[in-house]
Amino acid sequence: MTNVTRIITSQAPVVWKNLNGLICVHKPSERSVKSVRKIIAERICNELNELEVRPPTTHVSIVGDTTKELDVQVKPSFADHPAVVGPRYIPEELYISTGNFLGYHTSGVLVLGLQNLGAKKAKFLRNSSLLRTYQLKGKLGVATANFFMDGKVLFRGRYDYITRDAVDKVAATMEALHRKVIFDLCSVDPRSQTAYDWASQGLLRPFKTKSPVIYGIKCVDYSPPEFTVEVQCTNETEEFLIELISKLAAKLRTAAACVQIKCIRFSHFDIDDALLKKHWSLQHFLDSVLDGDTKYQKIRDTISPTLVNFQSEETST
Amino acid sequence: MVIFRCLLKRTCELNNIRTVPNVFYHRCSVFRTNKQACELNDGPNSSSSEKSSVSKDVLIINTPVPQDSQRSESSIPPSFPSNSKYDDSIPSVSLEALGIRIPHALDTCSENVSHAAPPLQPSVSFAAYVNDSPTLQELVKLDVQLWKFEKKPDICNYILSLDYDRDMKNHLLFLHKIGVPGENFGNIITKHPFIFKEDLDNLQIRVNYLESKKFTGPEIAEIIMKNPRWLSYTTQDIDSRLGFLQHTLNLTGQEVRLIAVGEPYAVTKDTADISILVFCLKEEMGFEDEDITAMAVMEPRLLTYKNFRLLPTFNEIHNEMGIPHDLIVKQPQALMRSPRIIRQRHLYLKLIKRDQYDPKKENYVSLQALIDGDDTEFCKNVAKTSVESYNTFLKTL
Repeated sequence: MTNVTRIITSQAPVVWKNLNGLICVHKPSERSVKSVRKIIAERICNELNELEVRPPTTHVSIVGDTTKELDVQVKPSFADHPAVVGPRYIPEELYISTGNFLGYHTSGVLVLGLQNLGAKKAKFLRNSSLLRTYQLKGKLGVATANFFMDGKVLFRGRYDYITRDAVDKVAATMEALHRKVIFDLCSVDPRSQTAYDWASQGLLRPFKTKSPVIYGIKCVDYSPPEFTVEVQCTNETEEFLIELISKLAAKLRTAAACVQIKCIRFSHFDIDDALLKKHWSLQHFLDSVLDGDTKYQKIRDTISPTLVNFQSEETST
Repeated sequence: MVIFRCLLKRTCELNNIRTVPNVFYHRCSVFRTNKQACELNDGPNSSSSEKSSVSKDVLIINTPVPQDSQRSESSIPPSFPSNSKYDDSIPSVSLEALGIRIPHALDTCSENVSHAAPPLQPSVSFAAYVNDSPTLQELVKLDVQLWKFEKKPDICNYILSLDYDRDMKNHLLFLHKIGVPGENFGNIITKHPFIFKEDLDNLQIRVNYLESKKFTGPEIAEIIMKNPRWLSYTTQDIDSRLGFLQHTLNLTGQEVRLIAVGEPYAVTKDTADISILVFCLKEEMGFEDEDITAMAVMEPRLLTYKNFRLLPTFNEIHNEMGIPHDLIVKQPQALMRSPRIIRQRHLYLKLIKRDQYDPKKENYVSLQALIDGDDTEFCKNVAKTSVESYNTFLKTL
């Protein structure tokens, strides 16, 4: 993808045609993916309507007295005027699908597929159980009803005896436990030759299941009462991540509530490439589509062979 | 799916022209069958023969009807009662006797039939009619967004029943007379298409009322441009609403005028909403009565906000940033900003230790400076950092 030709155009149909692929945006917290999609569709359509859109079609009418010679008039058709049929591009017609799903409280990398080609690529990303990296911030000493900070506080506890080492230790234990589970989810004995072959091919990802799997937990910041852990996982949900913080705290003999969930990486899509809400405009999206294409190709090339084999087996059977 | 009837004048005419032969045809057949039915009640004829005679009668009318004198007994169907007293009713339905000649398919047409066209069908969009209707074309030229009416069938039916010269011209002249610029007509009609239903005298009375309340001409035009529905409220209604505002917020006459011109929607809004908003500002946020009046006069748009929109922003400004009430009263437009933007900028200033909101100390950041402009201006003027570092910070939230 080195030889990308860049053209300068003010034609809306040309731009529309090129808006066909994956884009990477930054989803703010306390906002649903649905509303993010809605805002993006509206912004794209508003900007496209300001460009040079298709002119109205011509209306051919035969007028005059039928007893004499008739006159043929060709005029721009009022029936195709934007004031009558509405703007040329409307948000309902722009199909946006999601490559990964983030919950209401989660912020961070959100990969969206624009139009048909984007939907195809996004579907591949969705079904590939790709690795995501989250940063979870927890607050020690508070237990809430829904494990998140906005819930009702059930009780408060001490946390002064907890050290950074203790958090590291518990995180390492949890990681080891989850690594064992991966082989179970792949329904193979971890001591067998098959398990060795698969594991030697690359990252072993679960197939035929949608249960969450954690590949690594690491404490990256500890400033009590708040602490941050970085989690590499797949097939996760927001509830699973929020509960993870309270599970971790339970092993530390205290309580904790989740304060913030942030998706910092989704496979090759990094948070540095994600577009902030103020950058959700046509030019940025066009650049992001080009960038998304190269990253998608990279994912296709480097995807673990284990999963690819099983995916093809699944589709054949 | 919305289907509205087409009420164009031309269509009705066309329908009449096309239906003439059909009506005649039906009348004849009904005439015959009724008489047959009368006879049936008297005579003992079998039902099967009677049915066939009726169908034959209908056929006779379709074909050129022979003259009475030339008719022979053989042309009458066998089941037809030849000695019936209604026998000479057949010549009475002769088309030629009525002076109507059914044209042959291959006749040359000598009259002007340019007005003839198929009738317009029911449609879900104005696009089906706009090429045939000069009225709709005038509306398009005024830049009325007709597609916005499509979800509302009552507006569609009303717009189609209008005629430009008869129903619209005088109203547009009236708007021009009170000083509304022509480029705003489209916006006004799009927002309030039922303005053409109002009587011109009533409109003049409503404008006269505003003049009597010392609104100047440009002010009245601005009110109507901002809120086209204003003219559809009666004088009594507007009077009571202005009185309500004055009473609730303890305003002087000049202040009422300022609010009405600044945000006319505050006057035509549901009075219960304003009561709830004032209660929210007073009891939940803790503003004094004079504060509310001052804020409403300075920023009339505040009155159109719902209480649940203002509360999160107020919480951010007062409880998180610690700005007292008397400073918020001086910059009420901050209350209408999104709480998200205020929180982001406040947290960033906190991070770089510039969150100094006390006007008596140095490096004071006013509420107005915090909310003004885009992120580039904010970083340049207030935070004194690069935009890139601010963007990196935003991604950590």
